[in-house]
Amino acid sequence: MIDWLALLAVLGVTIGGALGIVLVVGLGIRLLATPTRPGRVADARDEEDDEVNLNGRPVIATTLAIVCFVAFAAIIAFGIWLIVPAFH
Amino acid sequence: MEPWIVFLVIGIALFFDFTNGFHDTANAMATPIATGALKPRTAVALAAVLNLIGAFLSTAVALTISHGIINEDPGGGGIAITPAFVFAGVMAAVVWNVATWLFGLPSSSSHALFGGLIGAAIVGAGFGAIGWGTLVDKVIIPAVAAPLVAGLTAFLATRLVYAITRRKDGNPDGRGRFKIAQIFSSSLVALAHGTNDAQKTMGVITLTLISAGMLDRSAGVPFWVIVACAVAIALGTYTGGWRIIRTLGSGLTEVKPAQGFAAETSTAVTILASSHLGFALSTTQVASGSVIGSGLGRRGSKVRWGTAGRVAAGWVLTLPASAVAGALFALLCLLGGIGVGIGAIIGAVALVAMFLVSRRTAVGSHNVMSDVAGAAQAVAIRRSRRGRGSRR
Repeated sequence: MIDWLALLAVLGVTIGGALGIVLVVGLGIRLLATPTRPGRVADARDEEDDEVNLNGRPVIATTLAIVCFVAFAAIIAFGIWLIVPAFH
Repeated sequence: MEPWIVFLVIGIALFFDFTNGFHDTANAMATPIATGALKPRTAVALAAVLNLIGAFLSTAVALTISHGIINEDPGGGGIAITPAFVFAGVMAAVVWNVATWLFGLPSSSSHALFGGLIGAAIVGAGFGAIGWGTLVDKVIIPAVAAPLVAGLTAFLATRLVYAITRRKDGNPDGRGRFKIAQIFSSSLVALAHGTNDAQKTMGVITLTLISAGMLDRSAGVPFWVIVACAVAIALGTYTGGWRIIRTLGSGLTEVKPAQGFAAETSTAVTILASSHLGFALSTTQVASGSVIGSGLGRRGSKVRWGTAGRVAAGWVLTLPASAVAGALFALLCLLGGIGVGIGAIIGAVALVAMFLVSRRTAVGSHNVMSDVAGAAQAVAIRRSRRGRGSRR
């Protein structure tokens, strides 16, 4: 028999897990890109991989970004824990 | 059974392990190479090291292969698994793996191995030897589910990651920083791959040793087998199936850092969730599904459905094609030792021929991303020298 319940569980956990990770890292990277002068428009926009002009980013943004990246590190550690059978 | 056949099987099994690593480098490393998060050589070296480490972490899967097949012999009489039939199955898998590499298709090495062994078993013991229900539940349904689950996840993850980092004030969004995150997400995929895939070969070699009476039935995987398999898969990974990396990295869709991170995260989470919730999904199909899903999720990106169709056709064909090849090799093996020898020669000739064909259009670390992308990069370098800043 096909274990539909297991498949559904995999789908749910996968979507939840991946969105959670992407949210944490995305927030961290967005926070790092917070400039102090709101409304300042960059000369050339690049959708993808441009440099960010820090312009003295607010400390709170840096702090929250670090919190996000620490959370990401914890998630990676959990991933390694899941992969290595000796840990569980 | 003559010992030379056992040695031959071990040799070919290790070569299968090599092609397995070679084929699957792309699953973890195609997207970071495509976005420039890692240089091609660095990426394959990282994946090779993680595969090497991964191979030493577990032998659980290997034991289910080496013990499961023998223990589950129906009615006690069961299938007479001789090294010759294992040879036929593995040889078929190797030939199919190299053929799909030649066409740059990311096909599942596990399906090739299953197919080859199934074909050989049909010749050896008839159609009754195959658990068709198990085949549908454990191989076919997961093969359909894998790209769908991973694709949907990657689509949503890509949408989310772009929504979070989007800026309306026109300031730089810093998405290039996802390149650093990509290194971690793709490394996780490589490690998960190493813990799983090297074990298939360990299982096959252990099975062969048991069936030849060289190892006790209840024996675990000998340490030299673990070492040999770990080295073989790591070497294969380092050699890098550049053709497949090109297909996954730039053939299906153009990949950007944030999108690549979303795709790799989806791949890693799908593999980990599925293997821990009892619905194992193939890494290859998961990775391809993630790339396509992320391509659909990013605004302004296009998925090349022609390439996706070729990849899907490769998936559908893998099992039956390697089963047919396995059956043909098994028919030769019915001739006894001479047949095995002839099979080995035919296999070797086929492999050399495909290698020579591949030389005509060599794809390596130097040209792994398409020539068009290379030209764009050259243009970008000139632009940034003039101080216009943007790199694409």
